[in-house]
Amino acid sequence: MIKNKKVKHILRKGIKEISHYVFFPKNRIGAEKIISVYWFVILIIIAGAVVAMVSLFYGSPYDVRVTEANIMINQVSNCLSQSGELNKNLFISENSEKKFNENFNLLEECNLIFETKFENAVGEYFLEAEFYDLNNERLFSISEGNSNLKTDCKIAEGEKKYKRLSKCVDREFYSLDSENQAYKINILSVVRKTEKNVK
Amino acid sequence: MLNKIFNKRGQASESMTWIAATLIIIVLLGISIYAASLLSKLKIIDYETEERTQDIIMEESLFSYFSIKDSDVQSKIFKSLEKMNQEEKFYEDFNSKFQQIKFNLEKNEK
Repeated sequence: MIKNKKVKHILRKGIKEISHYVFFPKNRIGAEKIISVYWFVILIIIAGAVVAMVSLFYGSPYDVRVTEANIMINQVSNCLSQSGELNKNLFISENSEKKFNENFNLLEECNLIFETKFENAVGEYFLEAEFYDLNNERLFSISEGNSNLKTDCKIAEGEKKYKRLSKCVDREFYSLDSENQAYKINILSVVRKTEKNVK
Repeated sequence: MLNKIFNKRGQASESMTWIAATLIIIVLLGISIYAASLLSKLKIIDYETEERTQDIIMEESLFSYFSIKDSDVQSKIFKSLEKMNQEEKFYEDFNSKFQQIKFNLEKNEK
């Protein structure tokens, strides 16, 4: 006979626990099943979150419109003027008088193609070159592309929140004609292509 | 009777731990998704701030500046170019390019 109450209590508890696992073995397996289902759910949540993060980051496109507009300006400046001298095709002589060539084709001369993949695209680009004398008097201008985009520049000026509007880059440089007369040339380049660059 | 009550408390605290752990995981994932969406909005390639080694527009102006023979016109253009430089309209260092082109032209003349 065991007289010590503490020992008796421990023994009784042990026997009770053992008999519980002997008579109800399914309860333990059930708990394990619930935990494994829980882990599976957590695993799915984490995997889903990782997929969401990756698709969020890589799903949004890089906005390269400003870069594209700058590249177009470089291309145009390079064909209008080389090493500081204006393209000879920009001028025509009428009655021994030198004039700007109104038929100067910016696309052909500068090897530019404004066609895009989009079927409904009205015109994704606009280019304008304005010629001034040194007193800032406008002498001549040539332009190509969708002139409606020009209005976007005035709205979006200095505002970052209008990211769905066209991007405009405006730059100016100096060049000389064959008679060593200096001109200030202002080139405006506008790129829309919102669908490809903004989500 | 007391034993049963204590057992239930133990079970409750264990399930609370699981719930808290799950919530922490979900909150952390939520923060990560929000951070990813914020980062995706910053995907803009800024032509001006990218390190550039060449500015064709500026070089064109400098070439025409050095080709001009009339000193009045030359100073007028130089003032305008300096103003543009102060307004940070060039993508490349104006002074170093000015010196470089000047040096090359002088070298060619010799």
